[in-house]
Amino acid sequence: MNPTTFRPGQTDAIVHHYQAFGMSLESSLPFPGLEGCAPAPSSGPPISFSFGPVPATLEGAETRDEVFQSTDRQHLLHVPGLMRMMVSDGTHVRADALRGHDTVQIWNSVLGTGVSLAGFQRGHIPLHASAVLAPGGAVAFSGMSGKGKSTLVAALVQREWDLLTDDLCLVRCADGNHVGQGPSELRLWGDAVEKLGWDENDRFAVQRDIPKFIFRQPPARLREAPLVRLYALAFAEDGVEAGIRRLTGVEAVRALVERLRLRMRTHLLPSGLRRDTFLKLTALSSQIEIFQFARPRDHGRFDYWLDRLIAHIQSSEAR
Amino acid sequence: MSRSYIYCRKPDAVSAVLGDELAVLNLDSGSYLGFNATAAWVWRNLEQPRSLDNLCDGAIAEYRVDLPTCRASIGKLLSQLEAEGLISVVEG
Repeated sequence: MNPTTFRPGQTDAIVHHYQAFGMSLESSLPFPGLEGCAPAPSSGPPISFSFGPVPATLEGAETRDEVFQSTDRQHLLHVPGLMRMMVSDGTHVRADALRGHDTVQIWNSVLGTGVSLAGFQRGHIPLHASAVLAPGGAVAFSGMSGKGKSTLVAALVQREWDLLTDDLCLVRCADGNHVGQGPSELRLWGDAVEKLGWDENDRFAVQRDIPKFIFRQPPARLREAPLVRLYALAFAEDGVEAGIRRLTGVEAVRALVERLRLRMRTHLLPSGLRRDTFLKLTALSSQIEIFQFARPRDHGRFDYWLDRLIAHIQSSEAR
Repeated sequence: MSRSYIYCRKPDAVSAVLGDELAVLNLDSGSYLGFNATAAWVWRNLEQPRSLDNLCDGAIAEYRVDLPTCRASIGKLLSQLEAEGLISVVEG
């Protein structure tokens, strides 16, 4: 049963409570795919989601591109044809979804994007990454869409690894670089489903616009874990030598900057957040192990490279 | 470059040490640069305003480099740092 709060007399009389990504969430509408739970005071103030009109421009925006407008306290995101979202002070997310579009994609965007921006406003680092639990902590796999994060993690889940989060690793730097559990689901392209031998009919939902199949997974045995290692994913066909290579120094920082969610680059950050974000990223690059993992795009050698990756994770180099 | 110029870091440059390397953020533009060990050495020595000659004196004492090579490479780096908005240049 979904824990809710009943607040008679208020505009949003029913409030749904959740825990995801190490944050407390509350929403005026139920999130499909999230299991409700009682509010956890230790997670800090909740992120409140509401739904309705969102302005087209952000007054006083300091930085902007075709998708974002931002100040130190607010981000306005416009995804053409899909959604407009305003995130404020790390506590409020307001979303205005266009009618007639894939509701699965809209919910995915509202949750992932809303938490990414609210978390960022709170001083956390939102990485475009999926993660599993290893004996020493969380091991993340990062890369932009199409680099095979979810496919890799799904293959690890098949080999009995625990899924911690898919597509968003929200790193709480002030809390020992902890990463909280995301929704217990994996979103896979059709060819990945076929490669893994999963049955399309076992899917929980389909994200039609892309299209991707969504598979529910058992929740991880831990609600959060310290991030100890990150593998920056690449394909050998992109001019990178296949293999696993340690990244240090400026290379490691660049790997993190390039894998911030929502295309946040330092020059797109409001000036008041640049110093803090930069110093957190440079510190994080020294506190965790970062590797580049490049492999052929061809699924034909997938299992070979998966075996190499697992051996590397379990090797003496792992903390 | 003329000996009469003094180079110094701008206040809106933030640096982070990464072993022998350095990452430096231009707060104003939001862009950041990675410095190798040599460039990091120059950056550290610009903590106080210095001339090219002064920097070269220090580099020659620390590294095995001749004066013409030193002036050319550090001079080029200083031009790059100025173009990136990380240092200012004033007549000494």
